[in-house]
Amino acid sequence: MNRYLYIQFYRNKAYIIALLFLFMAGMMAIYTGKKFLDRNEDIISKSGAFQKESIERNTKFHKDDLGLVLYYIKFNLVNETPRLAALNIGMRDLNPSIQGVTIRNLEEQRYNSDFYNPANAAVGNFDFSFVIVFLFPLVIVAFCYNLISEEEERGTWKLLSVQSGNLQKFLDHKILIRLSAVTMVYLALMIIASLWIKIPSDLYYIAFVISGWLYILFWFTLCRWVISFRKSSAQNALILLIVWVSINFIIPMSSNILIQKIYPVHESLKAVMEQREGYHNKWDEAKRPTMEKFYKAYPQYRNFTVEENDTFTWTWYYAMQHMGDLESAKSAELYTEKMQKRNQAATYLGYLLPNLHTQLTESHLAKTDMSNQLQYASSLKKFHEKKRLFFYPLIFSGKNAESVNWAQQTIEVFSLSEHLKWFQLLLPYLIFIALFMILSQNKYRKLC
Amino acid sequence: MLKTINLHKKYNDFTALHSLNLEVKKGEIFALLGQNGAGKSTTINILLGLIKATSGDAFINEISVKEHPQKIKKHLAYIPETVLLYPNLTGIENLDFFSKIAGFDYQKDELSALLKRTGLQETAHQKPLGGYSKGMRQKVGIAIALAKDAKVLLLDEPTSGLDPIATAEFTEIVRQLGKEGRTVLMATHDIFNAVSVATNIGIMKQGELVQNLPSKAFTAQELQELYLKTI
Repeated sequence: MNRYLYIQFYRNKAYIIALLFLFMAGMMAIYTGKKFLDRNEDIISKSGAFQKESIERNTKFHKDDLGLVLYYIKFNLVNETPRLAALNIGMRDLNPSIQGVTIRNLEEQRYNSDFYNPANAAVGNFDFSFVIVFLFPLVIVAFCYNLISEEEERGTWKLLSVQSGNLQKFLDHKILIRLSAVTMVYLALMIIASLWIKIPSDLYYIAFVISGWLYILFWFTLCRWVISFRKSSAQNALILLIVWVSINFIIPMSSNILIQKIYPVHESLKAVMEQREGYHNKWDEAKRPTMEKFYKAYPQYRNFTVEENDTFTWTWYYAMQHMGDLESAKSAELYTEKMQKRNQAATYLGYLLPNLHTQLTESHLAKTDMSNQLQYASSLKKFHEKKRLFFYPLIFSGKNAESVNWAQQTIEVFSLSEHLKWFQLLLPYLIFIALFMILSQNKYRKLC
Repeated sequence: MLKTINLHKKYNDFTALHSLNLEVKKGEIFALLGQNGAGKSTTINILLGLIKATSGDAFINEISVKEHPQKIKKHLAYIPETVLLYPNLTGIENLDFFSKIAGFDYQKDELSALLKRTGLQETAHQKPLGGYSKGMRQKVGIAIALAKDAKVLLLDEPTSGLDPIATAEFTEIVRQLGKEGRTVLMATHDIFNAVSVATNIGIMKQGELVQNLPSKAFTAQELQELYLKTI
C-alpha cells in the first residue's frame, strides 16, 4: 500500500514543486545567513586593524597628552558570533556583534552605535529560522489540508472505507510520506548549511536541528487534528491558514503590544537624557561637587585633586564624563531589568506558541537573542570599567602615551557559554504534539 | 448470507428506510428497484457500515453490521455507480493498491488476469486511469471487487451511464458471480437489466420494500408495468 501512496505523492507535480520551492527558499536563507556571517567576520577582523591604527595615529599625534589620546581611542569588545548565527540572525543585525568604546561615559556610547540599523527592524531577515517558522508550515498545510477530504471529494473514500479495515493506518501512511518528504528537505538543508557555513556539529547544532524538526512535527500533528473533523478541503485550508496567521502574526503582535504595555521602557530615553545632563551640566557647575561624587565612587583617586580655580584638567573632565554614567545608572539598570522581563514574558508566551518557541529557542542556540544582547551589554560595561580603571591613574598622574604598553590593547571577545536546557527546549513541543495526537486519535478511531 | 431485520433509518423528521426486512441467499442476485430517494442507496450504505441504522439490524454471513461494522467489511465488496479511483495510477496499480488495502497481495500476472476477466483490454492495464472511459473504470471497479474475493457484493446502480455493450458485459460478469455462489444485492433503475440478471426483484417506495418477487415470473415489459403501478 505504501508504495502506491509514495507513487501518488511523487507523481503529483504540485507537491514536487512545493518541495523544490521549500528547498530553494532554504538555500536562499542559508546564503543570506552566510553573507551576514561573512560581513560580520569582515567587520570584526577589520576592527582589530582599525583599533591598532587608531592607537598608532593618536599616540603619535598626542604623545604627550594621554588624556587626549584616550578621548579618541576606541577599544573594541566582540560579541562572539557562533557559525549557527547564520541560520538565525536574530537581533545581531539590529545590535552590533562588536562595539568600540572610549573611556568616556558609557551610556552615551551605548546608544550611539554605528551598527544599529533600524531599517532591519522593519523588514526582518530572510534567515533559515524564518523559512522554518513561516514557510515550512505553509507547505505542510498545502500537503495535509485535504488528506481526507480529497478522498471524499474525489469519490474514493467510500471504496477505501469498504476495502480497508483500518483507515487510520492508511491516513497515517499518507501523513508519514509527507512528513518524510518535508523532513528530507529540512535535513538536506541543515546538512548543506553545516557543510557550507562550516557549522560545528556540536550540541547546539543538534538542538537546533531537533527544535526545527519538532516544530515541523507540531504542524503535522495540528493538521492531523484539524482534518480529522472531516470538513471540506476549502474549510480545512481556511482553518489552517487562520491558525498560521494567528500564531505567526496576530497573537505575537498583540502580545507584544501587551508586553510593552505591562513593561513600558521609558528608562531608555530617560537614561540618555540623564547621562547627557549628568555630563554636560557639569561644565557650568562648580568643580568640587563633581569631584566629591567621583571620589565617592573611586576613593582610590582622592589623591588626584582638582581645585576650583584650576583651568581644564583631564581628571575633572573624566570625572564629569563619569557623572553621565553615574546619574543615569538607575535608569540604565531599570532599562536592563525591564528588557529582561519583556524577554521572560516572551519566553513564557513561547511555551504556548510553538512558532515563537522555535524562534526564541533557535536564536538562543545561535546566541542572537535578547538575553545574549543583554549579557553582552553587561560585559561591555565591565570591559569599559576595566579600561577606565587601567587608564585613570595614568591620565590623572600626567603620564604620556609612551608609558602605556599599547600592544596589550587588542580587541577582546565576550564569549557566552551556557548549558543547554533540554527539558525547557523540548517540553513545549512535546506537549503540543502529544495533545494533538491524542485529540486526533479520538477522531480517527471513529473514522472507520 | 445477507439479511436485514426491521432496518430503520431516520434523518430528523424524514424516514429514509422503514422497517426493511430482506433476505438474499447464497448465489442469489437481488435487484432493488425504486425511484431516487426510495431508500436503495441508504440500504446499501447501512450494509456497508458507512451509516448507522436508527433501529433494526443487518447481517452479513450472520455477522451483525451494527455490532461488528469493521468485521463485516471482510465479507463485502462494493461497486458504486461511478467507480472513482486514482487518476495518476494505472489500472493495474489501482487494482493492486485497493487489493493491498483489503489485505491481498497479488502477483502482477494475477492482477492482469483479474482485469482481463472483466473484459478490460490488456493495452489499457498500464495506462493511467485519468484516460479511462467510465466503462473502463467500472471494469477496474469490478476487478477490485473480484480481487477481494468477497462472498457478498453490493452494487449501487453499477450500469448507470454505461453504453449497451459495456452494460451487457457487466451483466454477464454479475451473472457469472451469482453462478459462482456469490450473493449480490444490486440497486438499479434499469428494469431490463434487472430482469435479465437478477434471481429476485424488490421494489422500494418511500423507504419501504413494497414488492419482493422472483424475476422469472416476469418479462421486462410486465415488470415495467408493475413498477410503474407500484411507485
